[in-house]
Amino acid sequence: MLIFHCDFGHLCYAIFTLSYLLDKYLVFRIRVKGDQNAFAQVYDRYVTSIYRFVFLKLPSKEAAEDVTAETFLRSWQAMRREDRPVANLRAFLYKIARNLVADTYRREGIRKTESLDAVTFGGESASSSLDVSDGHRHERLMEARADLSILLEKISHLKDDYQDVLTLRLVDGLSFRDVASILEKREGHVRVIYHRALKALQNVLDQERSPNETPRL
Amino acid sequence: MKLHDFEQKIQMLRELRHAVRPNNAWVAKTRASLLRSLEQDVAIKPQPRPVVRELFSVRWAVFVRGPIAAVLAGLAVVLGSSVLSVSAAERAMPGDLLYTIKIATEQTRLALTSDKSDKLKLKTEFVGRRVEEIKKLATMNTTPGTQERIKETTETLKRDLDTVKNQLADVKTEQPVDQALSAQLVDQKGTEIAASLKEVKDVVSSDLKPQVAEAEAAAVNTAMKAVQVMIETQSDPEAKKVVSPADIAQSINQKVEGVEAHLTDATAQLAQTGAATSSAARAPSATASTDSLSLSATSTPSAALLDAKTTIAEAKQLLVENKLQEVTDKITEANHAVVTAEKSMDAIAAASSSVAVPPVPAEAASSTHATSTASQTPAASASSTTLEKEPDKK
Repeated sequence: MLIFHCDFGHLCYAIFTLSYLLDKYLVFRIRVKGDQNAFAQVYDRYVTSIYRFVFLKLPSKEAAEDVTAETFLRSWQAMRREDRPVANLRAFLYKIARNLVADTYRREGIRKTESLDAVTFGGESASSSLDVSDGHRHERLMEARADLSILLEKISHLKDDYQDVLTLRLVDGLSFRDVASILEKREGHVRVIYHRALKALQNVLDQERSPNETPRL
Repeated sequence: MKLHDFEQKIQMLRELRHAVRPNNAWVAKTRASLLRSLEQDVAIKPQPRPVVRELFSVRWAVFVRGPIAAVLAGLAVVLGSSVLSVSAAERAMPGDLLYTIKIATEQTRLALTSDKSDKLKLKTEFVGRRVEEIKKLATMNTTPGTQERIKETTETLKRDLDTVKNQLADVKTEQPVDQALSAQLVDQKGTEIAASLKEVKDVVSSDLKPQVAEAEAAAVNTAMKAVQVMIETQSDPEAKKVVSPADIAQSINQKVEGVEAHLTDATAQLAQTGAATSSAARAPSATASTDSLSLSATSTPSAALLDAKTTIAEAKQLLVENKLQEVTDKITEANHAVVTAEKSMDAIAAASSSVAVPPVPAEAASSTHATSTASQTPAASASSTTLEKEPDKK
């Protein structure tokens, strides 16, 4: 993701490559040697990102913590027991986290937007779900959560493929490469889906403004 | 809602996402419990996997198209081979061709780590590697050039230990929980390193002993600094949950025992040095010089060792009174005194061996034996008899 936001392209590419190689090395140590130190490093590198990724998708801080911990445990089990190679560690972890979030909703039998509404407008204490020292920023974050439920509601009118790509790319801020790896598609294909999904979303929003027209999805 | 508004909301959401951070205590707790649960899992050995397949899990079919594919494949080979080199360099020893890659990889990993406590943990891990290297080199001591390699690696280790010690001070500005956990890790590693270096010291040649002893002292000092940091973090309730006062007390007890053991060894060494210098004094040509040497030199280490003994007794008393911060100062002081005494003794041993001792005829040796025993230096005999009794007193 860094590569898309950095002005010093070459430097960023070098850092990105080194980070990628380090991931490969850590996965290698875990799979071949069962190296717990390597796993601890994977945890240290990605625990904040994964927590952040699941936090806005789940109704409580406790649920986010449970899913984050479960993600790492599952990743270890998958790397140790499954024969499938791990091409992209970051995408691999996000994929597990994403499936666990889906499982949580399936188990609870609720829709994602309903759940987020419940958190945002329900009675849960704000301080219990967020570790944000700045009160104003905290308030904005809670508003953002409310906005997210509205945005997800708009996106939910689109095809499944479009929903996945838009959520991962726009809401979660993942690179096309990571999105492609999570959805098991080619990067070019993901880019095409993304642009089509944006157009489709535009149509949904236009339709909202002039409700007589039929949306073209 | 327009698409532009939609994008703005998304942008705001992504900016605010950075405010979300997991609780540090939870992160540490989960890390520890995950690692605990892995220990059982490690016992299950997975099926061996081909290394090449593991490292080159790219969809080759995608790249085998057109000239661009060739360039990408070339790049992949270069990057892939660097991974293999790094993996091979992992086992490289000082002086090997791949050792430079090993060090460069470590530097890269440090450079890629921005968090101070993570950097400290990483540096501590690398310090552990240096000790392993020294241990391996010490076992093949006879190979030509090994002495020089041990010397260089020991110097690097000493420098790295000082860096870890300084980094402990840097982490002070971070979260107390992180700080306490990092300090605990450094303490454990420092104690392990000191124990390993003690073993190495017994194996290496006398030329290398002073360097190894200095590195050992640096390890003890680093561990003591870590204990001091652990004590300082006790004011924070979260940190107190992670590293309890009982943990700190146990660690301090270990340190006291370690310095006491060190003192016992040094005392035994002093007794030997006294005997060696007195036997050197038997040589007629060197009598005058070695007598004056043993008089001036053995008195210094014996005084330092007595100081160390007193300081340890004070430290034990302070430990009973639960004045932990003062105890750490006393232990550092006692350790310094023991190391100083050891250095003096090494200097005496080196000076004694450098004095040319001509072979003594059997009759001459037997005739001078009585006088030389009687003329044994008072300081050496006094100190050896006094200090030999010390372990019994404990």
